[in-house]
Amino acid sequence: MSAPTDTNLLSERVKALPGGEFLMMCYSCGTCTSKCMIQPKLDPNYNPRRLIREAVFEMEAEAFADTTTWLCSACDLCYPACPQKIHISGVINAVKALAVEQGWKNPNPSAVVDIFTCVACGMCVEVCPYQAVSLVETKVAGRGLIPVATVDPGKCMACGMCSAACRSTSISLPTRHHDKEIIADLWAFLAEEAA
Amino acid sequence: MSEDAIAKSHVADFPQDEPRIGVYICHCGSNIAGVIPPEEVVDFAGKLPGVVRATDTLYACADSGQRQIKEDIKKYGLNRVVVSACSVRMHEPTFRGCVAEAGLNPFLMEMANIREQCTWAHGHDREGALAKAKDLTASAIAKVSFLHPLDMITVPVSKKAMVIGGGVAGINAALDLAEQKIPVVLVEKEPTIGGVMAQLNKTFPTMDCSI
Amino acid sequence: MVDAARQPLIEVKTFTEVEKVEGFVGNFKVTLREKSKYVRADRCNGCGACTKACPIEVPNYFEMNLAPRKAAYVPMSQSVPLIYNIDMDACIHCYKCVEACGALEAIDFSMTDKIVEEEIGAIVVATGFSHFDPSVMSEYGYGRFPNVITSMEMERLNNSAGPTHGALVRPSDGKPPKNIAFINCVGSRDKRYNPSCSNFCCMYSIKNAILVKQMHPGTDVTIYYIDIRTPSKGYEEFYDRAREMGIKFVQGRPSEITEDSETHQLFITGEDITLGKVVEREFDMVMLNQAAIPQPDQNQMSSVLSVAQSPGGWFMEYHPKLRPMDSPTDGIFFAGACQGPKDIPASVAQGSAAAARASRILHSDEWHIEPTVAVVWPDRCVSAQDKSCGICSRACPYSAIDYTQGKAAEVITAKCHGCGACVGECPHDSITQLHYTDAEILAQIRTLLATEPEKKILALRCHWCSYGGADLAGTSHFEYSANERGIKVMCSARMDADFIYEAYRLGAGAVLFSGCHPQDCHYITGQVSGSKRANRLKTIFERMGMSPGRFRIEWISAAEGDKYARVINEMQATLDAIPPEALKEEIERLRPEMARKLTRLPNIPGVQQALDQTDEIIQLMTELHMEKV
Repeated sequence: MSAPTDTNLLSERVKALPGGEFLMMCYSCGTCTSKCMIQPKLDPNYNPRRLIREAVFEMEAEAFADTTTWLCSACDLCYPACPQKIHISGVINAVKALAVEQGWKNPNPSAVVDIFTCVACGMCVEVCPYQAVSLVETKVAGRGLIPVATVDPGKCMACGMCSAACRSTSISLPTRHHDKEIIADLWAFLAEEAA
Repeated sequence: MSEDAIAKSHVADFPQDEPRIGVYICHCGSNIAGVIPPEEVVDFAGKLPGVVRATDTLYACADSGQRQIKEDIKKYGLNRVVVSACSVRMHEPTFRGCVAEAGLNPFLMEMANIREQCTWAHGHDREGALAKAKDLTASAIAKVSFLHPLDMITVPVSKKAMVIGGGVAGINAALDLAEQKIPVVLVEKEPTIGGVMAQLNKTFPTMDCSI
Repeated sequence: MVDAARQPLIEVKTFTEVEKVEGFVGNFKVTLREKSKYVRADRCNGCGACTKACPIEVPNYFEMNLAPRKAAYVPMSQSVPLIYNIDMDACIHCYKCVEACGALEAIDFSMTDKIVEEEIGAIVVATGFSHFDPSVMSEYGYGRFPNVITSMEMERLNNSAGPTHGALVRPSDGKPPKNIAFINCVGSRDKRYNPSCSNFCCMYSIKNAILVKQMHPGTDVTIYYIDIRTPSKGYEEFYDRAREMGIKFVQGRPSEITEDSETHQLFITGEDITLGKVVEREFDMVMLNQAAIPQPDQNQMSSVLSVAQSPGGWFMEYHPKLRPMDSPTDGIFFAGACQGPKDIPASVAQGSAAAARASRILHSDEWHIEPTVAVVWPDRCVSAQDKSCGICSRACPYSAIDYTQGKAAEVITAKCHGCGACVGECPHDSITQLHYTDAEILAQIRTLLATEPEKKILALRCHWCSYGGADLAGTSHFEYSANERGIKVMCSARMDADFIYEAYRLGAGAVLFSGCHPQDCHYITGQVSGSKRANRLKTIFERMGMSPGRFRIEWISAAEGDKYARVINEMQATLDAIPPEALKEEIERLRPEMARKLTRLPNIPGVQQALDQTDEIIQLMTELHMEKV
């Protein structure tokens, strides 16, 4: 007989989401962490192995506050390396979805849409690797109720694919990664090269 | 057609004796009884044609369980036995031996697998498991009525062993057999025996030489 | 090794392969191919003059190809028996060896392979294991980086009889390494390659680490591991000793090895999981502890011996706890790693245990085998009425049926293995199998389907595989629908079409036809007969317009408990998806068609009585069921 399961447990909720099925298969070998680019390059606290343990042991507050939950870009370098064939980014995304559901905000910047220029062509929807963009009927001052691109901050990974694809420069990342900034950076680089 | 073959073919005819069947429903501790009530299966089996004795038993395979079967064979004049318990892969030889000791042909005993293939697999559905245990017991009772006494076939034995593979396990098996005066053919596909062990340096945990 | 060669009762046949195993317990007939060595065993005195004279060098497999050998060779100097070999693939026929051998005249280029037959009472299979090739794991760079070596290469480099005479050196520059890492679980505990644990590698890497430390005390040694497993006597103490000697243990499986292409220094990247940090460390040399895997010819041996394989490819024992040394075939036993990875103490113990199991038979003058053999009803056999038939004889995997037109077919009992293929195939129902007669099996089917047949899944399983699979599902507590009702016969070849027609006539919801995988068949080709019949039936049922999925064919081994449970649950889901009214209508529509197929059934001896008697049981069961409802 299988033991009755409490569907409210974090581990059960993670397992119920697509990608989270293999959560309990982890034997904590650390291959994912050492395969990942984020710990050495971005955040020394980043650790997918630890996040999986937090989910297994129902450490909900720790898991939702963990930088790993928010920084994974689902590049899936770890997935083919995992000896237990766990889709690690799937587990992380499942944890993130639950965090967002409970009102946690993605601490990373997400893409911003200029609703006054967006023509709802859908290019950004097509290219987004995280299914974070969709076309939503929105009331826009002066334009009426029209469909415009809308970003789900819980899903956006701030990769900039949408911004690169947009034909009317209506979607971009705030601050440093704005088109203007990047073009300025490029000119500066070329000037340096020329000198 | 040889007379022997004709005689043999009659073995497969319909048995003529009136079946007197004993049915034993094993609890297997809580392995079976923890999921289904064995008494209900006993009640059910007792009503089927040919059954003259139906009872439950805590462990059919234990000495006491086997003793009961043997005593019942004499007491009730049983000529067929059904044991509803575990897999035939587990205890068929046990119960065949048991009925044989009481003078019954071992092939007149049939098992119904109500543990591995019932209670262990249907813990989530106790009612379904009970219905299945009854059906499996009934089917064993139906089969047992038509069983024929059979004799084991005796074959001669060539007194020579073959060991395939000359690694550490094979060499040791060959030596043990030869020391019991059994001739052995030790077959190795490589040009030397020794296997992987011969390629090793020292071996754990005593660090002695491998060869 | 030498003891085996010295023991007069052991005949050592090296360079010999097993081609065929026929017969049964006590009476196996084994065909061997003694491959030609081109050196006469009766004359070679092992002096090695031929090797010295031979001008050809090829890599020596025994030295993991780290050293050459000649075309005239022995794999190692302590070879047993010490008889030289000429490797014909490498030989250039210069005949210098013949000259060197001189008056001994041991070398004989006219030798050919010899086929020999042996009469054997019992067989011990001890074919061992092979090693995983880590070059498929590109992340560890084996094959690309010269200083990444395998455990077996380490064995030879560390061995005083090996190619470097025991000097441990880096393959890239021949210098002694100062800093060595061992990586465990390379290709084992890895679902991409071999999901299981290779059993002895933890101890094995500790052993190699200790050896390095003993011989070269200044060397830094690090072992990367996922878990360290030291379950036997003295093993944990051995692990302690390694730590005492200063060997460092890092928990965490490295994800990558990189190399400095000039110095060939290696860098291991891995999470040190106790620190929770990714650490890159530099090493002179890295040893990969390769997984133990089944022999490359294990599948072939499995069909020669007619024994099944567990998932992962190892030979499958009769029972994992109660009869670990026995194969499912009486008289064939397993010893050592061919049944699953094992270290030396366990292999030696199993060798002795298998010998003890075998000697039970070999010390007996006679042995008993099950009488569940086939018998012919001579008066029903059409051949006796001078009609051409012989189907039974062709179906028999053991040529155990004598067929001459004009005479009733006759079963040679000593050759019959009791699969029932002839019974399943005979179109005239003139042959039956003791303990598995039509009457007995029909009685079982009829009682199992006595009440609410439309809800039930009748599962026909063979004794050796699918019945074992169902057992394993239970033992593992894999839950499946309790509507399954199982029947056991010895082989899927015995599963008569009549059984299935009768099941559907009675209104069975679904029928599963299951047996072993084709290569695992306990009766050589029994499964092939069963499979052909099942597929024929499938087509017939499709033409009748039966809903897909109500008849299912699945091959399930005794190791596939999960599959058994899954198949039954899927069949239950298929049944659930058919609306009850539609199912009822379909059963009623097909009932007369099924009945038409069964008109001759009552003519089989015993069957009419069986039908009458089971009718009585069915009626009683129906009444009891109605009472309950």
